[in-house]
Amino acid sequence: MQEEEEKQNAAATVKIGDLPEDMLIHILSRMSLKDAVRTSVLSRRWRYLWMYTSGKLEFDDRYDRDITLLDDADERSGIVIKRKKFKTWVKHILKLHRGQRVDSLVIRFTNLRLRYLSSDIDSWIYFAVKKEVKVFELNLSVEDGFHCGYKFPNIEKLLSRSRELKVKSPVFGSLRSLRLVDVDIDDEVVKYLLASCTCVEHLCIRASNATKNLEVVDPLANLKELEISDCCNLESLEISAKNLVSCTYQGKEISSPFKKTPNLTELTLGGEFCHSFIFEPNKHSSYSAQLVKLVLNLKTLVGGGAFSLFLVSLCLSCISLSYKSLTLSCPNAFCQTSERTNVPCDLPQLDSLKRLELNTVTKIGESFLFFLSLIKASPNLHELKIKVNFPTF
Amino acid sequence: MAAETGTPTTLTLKSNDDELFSVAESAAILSVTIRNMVEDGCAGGVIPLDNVDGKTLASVITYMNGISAIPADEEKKKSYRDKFLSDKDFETLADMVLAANYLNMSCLMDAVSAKIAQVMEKKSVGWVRRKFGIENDYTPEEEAAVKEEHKWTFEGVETDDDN
Repeated sequence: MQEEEEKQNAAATVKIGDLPEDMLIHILSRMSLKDAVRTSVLSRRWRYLWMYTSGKLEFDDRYDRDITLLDDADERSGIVIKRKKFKTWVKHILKLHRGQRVDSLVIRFTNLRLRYLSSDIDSWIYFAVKKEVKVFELNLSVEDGFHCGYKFPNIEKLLSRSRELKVKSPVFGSLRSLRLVDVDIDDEVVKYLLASCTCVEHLCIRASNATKNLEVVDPLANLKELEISDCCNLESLEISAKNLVSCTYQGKEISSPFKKTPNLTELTLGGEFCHSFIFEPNKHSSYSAQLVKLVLNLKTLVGGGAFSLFLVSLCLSCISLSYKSLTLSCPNAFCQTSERTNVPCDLPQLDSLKRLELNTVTKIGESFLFFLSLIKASPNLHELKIKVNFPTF
Repeated sequence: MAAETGTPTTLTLKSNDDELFSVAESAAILSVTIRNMVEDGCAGGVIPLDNVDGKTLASVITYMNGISAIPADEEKKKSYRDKFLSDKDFETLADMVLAANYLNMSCLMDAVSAKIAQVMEKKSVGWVRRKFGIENDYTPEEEAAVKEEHKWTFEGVETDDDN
């Protein structure tokens, strides 16, 4: 009965399944890859439609572990199988894709151990270039900190190796967002990409061991957001981008990278450089006054220890009272300190600062003292967040 | 949206089942098809829209008026679109895709496509076939082969006895 009724309706009205193919592809392009590929089972007409999707191709071995469907096999061989399956899966899908363009290619491969996959990863980058992606993310970080040492290729060499040469120049001309995590990328290659990707709005390079002397300098008309983090061999960084609004730098202490950044208002700092910002504020006065939002990731500060909880509550209660009238009277208990607690009294004023965040792991002791003086230096502050992570051991 | 003259111009649109609708030109030109007609000076009398029926056109005009009344605020426009589409059944959505395509209204096209995509999220093959009027013309062997090829896409799909 129900079927007959549905058939009658089908005759009278247009069903979604009756829509022309280009409109169905339009719909498929707004789905996750998984949902889109599954439609190939619907009927013969649908079998190859997903291959023309122009949406987001996202591969993540953390969420798609089920692709392996493992038994409780030996864990080590299980990992090897998973790695192979992931690689085969990505290769299979990318090979089947027929559409001219893809908006976004995101590959997170956290199960990588060896370098022998280089040519596979090269081919993913080639795919991203060929399909003129707008968003490209390649994340090879491994949870236990293993760095696979994959080197981002020289794009021109990569293209010359390929038989198809129908890549539109400039390379990555449509790219809006580029995120590379645990991918070693030479300074020269970054320079090439920045010159080529004239539309880029968001750039993130994290944990690149090949990054040494990096320049992110105009013309970068569209660059709004930049992150350079955990590049352990970085010696110098120069940022001159007049439209840059938000920047994250976490890593070694280097001389101030911010040269011409008149619109930089949101800054996130971590690592030794963050310590320098706190303890040597005058080195940073050329740009600190323009900041509206400041996030300090103090993961490595070691301080007084036992007093941390007490300090947090003290700090919070002071602030809720009215930090403007706060006077810093340090109980002696706090002063079991290193020289770094000596906060300079000529702290540059952070006149624009409205939002301040502190993220830290316990043992915060002395760091909080400085935090209070940061607050004192910020007359316009109206939002303050403190996140404290307590280790579980 | 150029309303520099004092009295707003009104256009008359005619659906393929001969219903007539009045709509402010500033709202109607959200449709590139209509905008081109206006710019070419073909909008003097009645604008016939041969591929849109009255019921769908009424709905599209509601959308045109609603969205053009919202100032340039992408958040508010998005929430209007979500609300506008929330009570539409699948047949209406299919009609809207066709109308949006014919009228060349990319914002409506994108919104309806996204809505349909969202509806299909995690749904079983059987469910989609029934709701979208898709006839399974695979042989059982073929269907099994396609399923096997894309086995990974069946993880986490809502259960359905017709899967």
